[in-house]
Amino acid sequence: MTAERDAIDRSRRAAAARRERTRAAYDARRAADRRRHDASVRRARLAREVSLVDLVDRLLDGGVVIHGDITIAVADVDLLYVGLRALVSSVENMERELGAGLSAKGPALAATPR
Amino acid sequence: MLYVYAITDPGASTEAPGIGGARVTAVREGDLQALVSAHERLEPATGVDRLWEHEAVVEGAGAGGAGVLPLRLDSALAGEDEVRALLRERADEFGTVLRRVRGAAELSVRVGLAVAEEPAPVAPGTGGAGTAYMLGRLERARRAEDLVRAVHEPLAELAREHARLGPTLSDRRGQFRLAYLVERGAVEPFRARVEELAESQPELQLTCTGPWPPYSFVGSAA
Amino acid sequence: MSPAAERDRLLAGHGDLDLFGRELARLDSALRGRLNADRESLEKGLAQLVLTLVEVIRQLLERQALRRVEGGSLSAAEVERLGETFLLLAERMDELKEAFGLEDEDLNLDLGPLGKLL
Repeated sequence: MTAERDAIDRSRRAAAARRERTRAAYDARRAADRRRHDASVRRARLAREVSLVDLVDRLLDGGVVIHGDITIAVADVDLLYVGLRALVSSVENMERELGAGLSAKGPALAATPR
Repeated sequence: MLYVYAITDPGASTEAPGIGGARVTAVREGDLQALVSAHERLEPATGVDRLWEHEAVVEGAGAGGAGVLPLRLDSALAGEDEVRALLRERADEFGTVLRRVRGAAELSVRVGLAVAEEPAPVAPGTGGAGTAYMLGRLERARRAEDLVRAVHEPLAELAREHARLGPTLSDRRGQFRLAYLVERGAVEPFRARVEELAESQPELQLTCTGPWPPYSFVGSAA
Repeated sequence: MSPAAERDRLLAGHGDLDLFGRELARLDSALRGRLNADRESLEKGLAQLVLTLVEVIRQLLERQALRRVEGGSLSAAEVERLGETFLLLAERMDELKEAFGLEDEDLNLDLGPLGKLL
């Protein structure tokens, strides 16, 4: 009688342990899926951000410039910046002229087209 | 007021809506046309949507193989007469640049270098802290230049033209921006070569995006 | 093409894409700053403008100095003196940036249709 009860207990415990293992495996799989999903969502988001950074660079610095009679911008701020830009490019030009005679190697790659 | 997206070969059109959903139309003059949309009033771009709207029109125009010169963001002219005058006055220049970029797309490659920020050690007897600083900067610049060249040269072989985009402050953190004008049919081989380079030089962080309209190769038209 | 696909142009990417996270935040503020140039507090805005100019000049001078060192036209004493000056200037810039809570990427100006200053 006792032996029979023991056997039933053992089989119940074994079943419980099996359920436990199944659940653990299931949870682990779920967690791995979630991690993979999170990683791919993150990558997709980063891919869009990287693309956006490249697009912004191009649209603000590249493209044909037309000197139209209308600039969509805040006039005062732009005037200040035009002055700054002129200052910097004149220093850069001076630097290039000075540098041409001094640099033995010159730039390794083609100069920027800007 | 006319917002101007691009100057193209005649006949190029796009189904993409313009900024704020506006209708995009073509203004033709001689062998050129401009893609424009009419607006009562235009505010400067303050978010990323405008960028993608501008981009969608430019790309749509080039999808059929027509030559396209993208304009810089937020380019506008008062009306059709001004657009025609622009196309007339700069016809030679626009025609030349169109020939250069027709049939090609721009690919962007950013090279990130993990170049150490601390000054390089200096051999004894070569001077003090000032000399160490200068030589350290010089050495770092040289190393970065060598690494960038190792990426650039094999990629330039696959490109019609290439450009090194101006230095930004991010270069100080070891990022370099390169742009390549690549035949449309060569985009995939180019991408594959970027992958190869990334695998053979794991210390470099390479990021390639595109295909983009040739924004970085029409600047000389400015 | 769906909008999501349209906005993803990554053909190949290796290494740390997070590099772009900070750049993106800077670009976003640059875009907004085109319309709201005076929204930031005056003090920080002014400090940013002044430090940006100092940084522009510091970088130009340093690049020029490096070219001269590379060209070999300077004596050892001159190189040392130049180096000390730039070292000091770099340290002072770091102190100022910290004092005003500015990052490297803040020391740049978006010039609207003119592009970025640096």
